Amino acid sequence: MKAIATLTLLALVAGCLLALLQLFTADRIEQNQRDAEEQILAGLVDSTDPEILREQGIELVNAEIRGYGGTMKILVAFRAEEILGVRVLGHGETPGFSEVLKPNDWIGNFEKQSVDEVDAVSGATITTNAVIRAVKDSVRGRKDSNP
Amino acid sequence: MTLTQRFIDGLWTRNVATTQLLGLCPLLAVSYNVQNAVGLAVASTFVLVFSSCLISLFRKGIPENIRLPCFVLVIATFTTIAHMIMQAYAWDVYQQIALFVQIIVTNCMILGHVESVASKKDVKTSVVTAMGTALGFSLVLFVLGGIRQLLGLLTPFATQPVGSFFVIGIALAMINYLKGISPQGCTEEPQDEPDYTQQNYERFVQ
Repeated sequence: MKAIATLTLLALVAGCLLALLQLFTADRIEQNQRDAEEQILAGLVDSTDPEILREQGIELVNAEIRGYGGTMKILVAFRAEEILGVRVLGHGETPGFSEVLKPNDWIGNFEKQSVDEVDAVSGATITTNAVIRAVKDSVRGRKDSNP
Repeated sequence: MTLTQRFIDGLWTRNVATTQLLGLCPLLAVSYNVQNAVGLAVASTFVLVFSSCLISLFRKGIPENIRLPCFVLVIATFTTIAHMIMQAYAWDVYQQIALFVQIIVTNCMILGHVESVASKKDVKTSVVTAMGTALGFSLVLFVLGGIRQLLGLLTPFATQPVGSFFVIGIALAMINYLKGISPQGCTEEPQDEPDYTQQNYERFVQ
């Protein structure tokens, strides 16, 4: 009985403490995340404002897919029918293997080749296949929504 | 054992990384440059010192049979706090070592210290010991990070961090040499045990 009471009390205190800290840090963490995303997109588009992008004929499509270490947040930029580029906004892939997701690495292939030509990277097969699948899905999704 | 002795014990004599060989996974994974090494050192120190303090404070209220869940809960709480603070105020370093900050929860250095010291001794003793231990760990991280960053600069064509096992291996060999530990073990002469055989024999004869 004492065991249950102690654990419950401890968990309660810990939970409250974390919730309190979350209140103070949530805004800053979100701001950091947004800054990081903007930095990732910097080489691809001039702005993340949908109005400005529409004038340039660019459309950003968000996709989420399961990689090797959890969900990856992927963003595909389209100009008219072609893919302008692909960026990964967030992921939980293994350090080292996630190098392929950096803008100047493998993921830049989407800017040079068509989706069907892009190959997975051996050693990081699950990660890269997931990205390819997400990009193909978003291409198909776009075709379905504006036929 | 005095407090100073305990501090030096954690820092050098019984250093977690070089003598007990605990917590090597995050240590080797992160110490490829000084910035990351310092990031992990600060996070580990924070978690170790505050968990020890809290657990030592409530050691009499924690029932023996559920002490491990309690320890892990406290350590996990402080790890999450470190994780949140780093995300808010040290985003760049955090992005590099995120995974290794999260697995501080399972660092044997911390659980071992909490189990063997913090749950048995008073707050002052356990905090001082925790500080010595954490500083010892941080020192190894810092030195290893420095050497490996230098090695990385000197190694052409290196795309991945270099030299983790070689550097720690050579460092351990040097430290053992300085402490006078030979490959066969301690060089100190073993204490002469009293010879019981004669007595046993006499008893047998009687």
